[in-house]
Amino acid sequence: MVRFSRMNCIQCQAEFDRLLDGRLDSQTETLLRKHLEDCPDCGAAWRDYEGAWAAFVSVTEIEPSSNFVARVMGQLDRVERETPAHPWFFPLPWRWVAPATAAVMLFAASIGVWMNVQHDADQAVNQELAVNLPVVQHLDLLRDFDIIANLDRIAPFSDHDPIEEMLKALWNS
Amino acid sequence: MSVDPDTELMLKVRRGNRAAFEALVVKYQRAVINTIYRSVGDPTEAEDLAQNVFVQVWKSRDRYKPTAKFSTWLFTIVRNMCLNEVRRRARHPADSLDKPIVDGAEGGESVWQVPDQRAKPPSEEALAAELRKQVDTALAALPETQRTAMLLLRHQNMPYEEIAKVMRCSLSATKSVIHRARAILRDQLKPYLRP
Repeated sequence: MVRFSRMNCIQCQAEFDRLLDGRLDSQTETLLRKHLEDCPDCGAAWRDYEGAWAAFVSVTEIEPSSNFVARVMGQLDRVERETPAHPWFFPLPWRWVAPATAAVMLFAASIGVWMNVQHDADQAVNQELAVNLPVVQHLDLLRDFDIIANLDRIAPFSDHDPIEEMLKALWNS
Repeated sequence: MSVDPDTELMLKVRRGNRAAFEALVVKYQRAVINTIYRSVGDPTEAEDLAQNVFVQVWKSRDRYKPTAKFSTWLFTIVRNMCLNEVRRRARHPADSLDKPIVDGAEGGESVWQVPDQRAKPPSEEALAAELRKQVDTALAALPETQRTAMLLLRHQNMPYEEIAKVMRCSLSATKSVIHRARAILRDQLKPYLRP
């Protein structure tokens, strides 16, 4: 809403739509009309703007056929025959209960199948572990003492044990 | 707070009342047909599509909620129907039967028209007819959003807030669309307006 004692051209032309639609308050409209009288540019711009809208509004509309309403009403019988007003057994608030229940049951069933598959897989792993556990434990032991990693650096088995030789040397001394 | 009379009628329609539906068809037939006509450009096709719009209203009456004004709901259906038709035409382009035929011009070349200097100045009636033709051309050349907004404003004297709902855009965007459309019309029609 414009609250000035005078209007400039920008303010004036910004209000053209509201003036055309009759949405201006009386004070702003008075200011605008005064500016349109005083400013030839804005006056001409307003005449074009208003004239184009008046031309658009004056364009002749096409008339509906005299039997248009009858044709539409005649269509309703066909529509009713094709799709009854309540094609569902249940009324509207309960209409979604059946599909929703089916969806929940389907979801639960798929979860059950998935858990069953997981259980079978776990069982297979457990059986395999039971068979191979000693080997696995042995391997773990070897890994713990870095034996596997240092296999190439361990001296081949020989008759003389360095620890035994060291103990013998201590005894002799 | 008073209830919109159309909303009251539509609530009756929702209960299957055909007389209420007929009253709505009688009231809105002209606006609906003319709005569609400006999109498709063919009066017969506009009537067929308008008939589909009203049948669609009847079929989807269960979905109507009285929170929206009936006219907003109706013209949303009209707009969707027009957009679908325009898309369908874009997918299946066909030669228009109204395509102008130019005598003596081979291969569709345009004929250069020279103004006859001896001709009398056109009559008032001829000028008005020319202006109407120019308005039709300018309106057809507007983008869909601008044209629909202008038609809703013109046929229904619809408030901007409702137009915004039909167009599914903000109020400020609607104001801007209408302002741009009016400016385009002004520029297009300026040569044909009285000085």
